[in-house]
Amino acid sequence: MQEKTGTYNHSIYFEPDKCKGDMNCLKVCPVEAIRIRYKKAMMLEDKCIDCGECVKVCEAGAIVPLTNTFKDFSKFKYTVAIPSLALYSQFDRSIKPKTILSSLKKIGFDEVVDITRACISVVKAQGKYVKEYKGKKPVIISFCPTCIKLIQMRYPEMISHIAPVISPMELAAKETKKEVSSRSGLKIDEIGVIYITPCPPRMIQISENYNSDMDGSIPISEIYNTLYTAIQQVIRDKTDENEFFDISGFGMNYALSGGLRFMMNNENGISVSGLNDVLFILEEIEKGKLHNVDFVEIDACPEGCIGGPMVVENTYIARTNVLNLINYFGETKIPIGKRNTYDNCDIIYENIFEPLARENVNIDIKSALNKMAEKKEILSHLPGINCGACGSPTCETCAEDIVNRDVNASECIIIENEKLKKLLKEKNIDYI
Amino acid sequence: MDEEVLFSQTFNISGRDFANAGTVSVKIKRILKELGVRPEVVYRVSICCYEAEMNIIMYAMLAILDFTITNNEVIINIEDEGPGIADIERALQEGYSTATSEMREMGFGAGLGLPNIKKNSDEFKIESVIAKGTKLNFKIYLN
Repeated sequence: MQEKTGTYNHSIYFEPDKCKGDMNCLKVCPVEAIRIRYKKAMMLEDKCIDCGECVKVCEAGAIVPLTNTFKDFSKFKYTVAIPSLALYSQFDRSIKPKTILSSLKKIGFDEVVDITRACISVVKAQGKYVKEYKGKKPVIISFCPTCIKLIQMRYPEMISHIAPVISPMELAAKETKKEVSSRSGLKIDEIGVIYITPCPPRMIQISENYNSDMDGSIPISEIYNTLYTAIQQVIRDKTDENEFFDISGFGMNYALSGGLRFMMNNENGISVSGLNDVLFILEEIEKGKLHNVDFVEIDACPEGCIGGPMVVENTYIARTNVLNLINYFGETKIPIGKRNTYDNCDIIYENIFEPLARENVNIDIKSALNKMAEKKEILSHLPGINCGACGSPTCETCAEDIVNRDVNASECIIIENEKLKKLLKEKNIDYI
Repeated sequence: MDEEVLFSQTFNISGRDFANAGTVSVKIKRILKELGVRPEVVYRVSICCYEAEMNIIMYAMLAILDFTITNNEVIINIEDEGPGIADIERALQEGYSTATSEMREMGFGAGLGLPNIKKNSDEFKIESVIAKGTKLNFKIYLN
């Protein structure tokens, strides 16, 4: 894994050499964390929430997610793959999770762990937490690293709403490490647990917040081709038939936004996915409008993790694939294996999310007020059309940047154009 | 340290305006956030303002909310025109509410409004005249 970038850890970085300076990323960034300076896009590290929207739209390939490759895991004596449920959604009905998991083993992992059972135990804990919760409603339930970061940065006062429950993959990783260690005699740090992830920021979030039991992550999109070849081989050789994985169709619901509400059997919860909708619902919570809702499940990607930036299949087909799997498992009786439940594990922990300070915290209020007035004054002179040509996404951010001495107001093409017109008029030169 | 008013703004709130419920407290919160006030202080101010705002929307006709920031505290002053509170002591007890069943259906009227403001503020004053209105003043220290 690459080293930290500055004071904030981010899972994406910009490659200026490849950047063509177009405004695709500038326009889609939901938190206004991108600026274009000297014809190159750059990230404001104190604003970025790692959602990956810019990665999706950059045609030049200049915005790159940080992830691991197989080589990074050669230091471990024993490797365990924990795939996100989103991995199952990448294949059609003819390819079943059992085959996918067997194939992961085939491409080099010593062990592969399904997390549907962990999901069930985690949902039970979340249900319990919601039921016993006495604070200001609603409880926010999210394992989405982007949503958590968004709250830490923009809505730190809402941190106390977040349910402090361990994520299913983290739970599976912790228990698997213990189990493998006692079975094989290996030390915990000799066992590498690798998450097969639909999005880049997962590992960053975990390493920032607490001592994660996961050691790295490989994107679904990166592993897909190799895995697909292995799957064909496994199907041909029927090598998956002797493998046993304790997969639950009920737990599979967790893969979809809205699945939590169903699994928890709580009628008074809502599920929101897609970053714009998440921003909207957080504002509603901020206004107190959801004071009567028990819990809100939020995911930054549309439809949840299956809509992540590093998957292969499109979100709607992926969703259908999951629904088909739920049906398929619903009709199949599954034998109960050794790892069928995590109910006895420690699932609720202390809330460890800290506010992530934005740039202006801790300066004195007097100078902050001066800046605010200055910004208002500058904004009144800007055209207000939010074209982005100055390299700041809106006139308001431009005013902010000018106050922070980051950009020159002369970058504004509208103002410059008007000056030019005036000049031409004074000199009596015709213009179109 | 001497008290010095650094910022002040006035907001109008109309009674029964459920569609805009919460907007004033969000505006106040935005200002405090932009000024870099500590999240814990922002949270307390916004809880207090939200509860006060809801009280106005539920019971009063209209109100003026004065929001002031000094170098060491946030001051909120609210004067409403409304029915007034007959028994302030009881209104300050958790669980006491005069909300109608319609309000309760909307999820309000748990009897936590005023007690919540008192709990989350550092200084709290309330005066009320029946059939005239209520004056509420609370302060939250910045440090």
